[in-house]
Amino acid sequence: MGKTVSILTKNLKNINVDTIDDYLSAGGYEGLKKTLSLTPLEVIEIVKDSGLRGRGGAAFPTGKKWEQAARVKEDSYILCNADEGEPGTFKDRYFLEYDPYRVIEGMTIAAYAVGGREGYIYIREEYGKQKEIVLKAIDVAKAAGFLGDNILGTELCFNIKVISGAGAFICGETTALIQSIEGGGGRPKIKFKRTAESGLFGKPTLANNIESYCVVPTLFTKDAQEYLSHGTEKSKGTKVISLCGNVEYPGVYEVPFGITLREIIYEAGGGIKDGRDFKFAQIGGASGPLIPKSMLDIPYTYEDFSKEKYSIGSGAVLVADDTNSVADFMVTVQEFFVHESCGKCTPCREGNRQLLKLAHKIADKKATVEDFITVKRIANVMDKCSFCGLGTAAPTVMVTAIQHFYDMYN
Amino acid sequence: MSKNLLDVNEYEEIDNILKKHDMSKHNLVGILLDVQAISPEHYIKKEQAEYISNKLNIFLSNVYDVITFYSALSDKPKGKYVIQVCNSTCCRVMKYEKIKDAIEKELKIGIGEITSDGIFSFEYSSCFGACDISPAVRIGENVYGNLDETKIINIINDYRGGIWEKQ
Repeated sequence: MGKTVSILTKNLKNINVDTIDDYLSAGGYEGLKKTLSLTPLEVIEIVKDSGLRGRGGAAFPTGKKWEQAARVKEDSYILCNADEGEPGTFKDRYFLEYDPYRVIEGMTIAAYAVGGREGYIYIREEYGKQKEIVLKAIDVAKAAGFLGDNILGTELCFNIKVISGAGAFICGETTALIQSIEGGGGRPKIKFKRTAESGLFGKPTLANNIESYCVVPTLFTKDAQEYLSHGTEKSKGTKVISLCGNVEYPGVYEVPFGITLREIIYEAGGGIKDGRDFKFAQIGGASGPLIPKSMLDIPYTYEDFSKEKYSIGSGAVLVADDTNSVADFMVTVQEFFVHESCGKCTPCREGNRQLLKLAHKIADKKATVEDFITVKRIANVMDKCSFCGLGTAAPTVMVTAIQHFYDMYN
Repeated sequence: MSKNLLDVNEYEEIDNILKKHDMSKHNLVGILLDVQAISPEHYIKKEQAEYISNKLNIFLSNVYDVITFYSALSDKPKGKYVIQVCNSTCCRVMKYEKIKDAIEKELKIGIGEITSDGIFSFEYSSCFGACDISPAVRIGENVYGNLDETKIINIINDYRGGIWEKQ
């Protein structure tokens, strides 16, 4: 398996989650115990020093977010975004299903650090079975004294509720997710204040992705040293990726930052299925860039990707072999965004419709040079004027596909 | 407001669901999911939507805003088993079209249609996170992956045989 590691993912498929015993014997709740011996500010300092950045896709520094939430005097809602919807991403499902106590522990540490009594896990509707597992884990943790009043005999009181989504990709966006918990359609809202000050029900809220919460307990255990020994200066630690598509061994892998895409695909993934040739990879979900063969040696880090104006997004690595057409893939992606755009703002709603038409034209080999220019123009408007990240990122595939594969259409 | 189109039991069931959700309009998404779950045809009737809007003291348009916004909620009846085939990126690369064609041929219906016996309906779904076992379909809460034409036909036949009756 080459360079893959097993720190955050050490429990996945290795412990029985019906009881908490396996989790505890695997070192579970050592992190929370350690944090309770520190002050909340010390906890936040350690999270900051770890260089952890939001693992859902936006990559905002987690420690900074916690610091903002801690500055607010009132209690914060501790929100866990489990609306994993980026196509090609399934690592959060693994955490919910195979290591739910780690999610709970991470949220509890957050509650202690920023001051919170109530947590919400927003789980996408598609993960109904995982939701049941999490609900059971919450009951078990509560019965064992790890949730509820006076956790581990301290003054910390924390409870978690589980909320189900209803099948809307946009609800992964924090303000849309909050609207959904408040009982409305999940449309993004303009933020006059930071979520840390005014989020769920207008109250201070700390929102993080599952994986971000799952990293936190590790930072306070003996595994921390190993975790922090990986990665680069600007991308510390490891990333849990969802490797899928035409590879021999699709699955969830934990990789140190700095590994190359080639190593991910050919070592962890066992190479292209049935000995075929690599055509392209899409990184970070439907809104992620297409990577051609010539870029396979790009190191998987925040900084190397941002140099190319890409992002590693949710950690999806979708591999396509030479039986796939780039243009058909564009159509699939644009169909997805037309379906998932909430329709609130014009650049996203109309832009995606127009891009889909153009994608069809390209796929049908009827596109003219002007059409390619139009794609760039629309993409530019969407990037600059869309209301939320869905619209700004939606044209990425078409733009990068044209950038790398334009010759094919000439 | 149409009063008598639901029978007494149905009102009772909705009341119980509302109670479970603390009669709170903030839980509208969860309430609608639960109400839909009691429908064998997986949809929310107009009368149910009206009853919920009255009980929660919110506009009917608010209820329909939510029903029509989310893919998992429906205001139109579906088959007893809803077969959803993922047509997002990973399943595209893994050639979901073969599975889709096999289902269409077997059930003799297209996307968005219901079989004449009302047993199956067939639709597309955005990625439901089963990319590690792509191509995948979802039938209710059950996800089936690593599919080929034969496997999906066998699964459909299992449902026809009623072995999932209890699920």
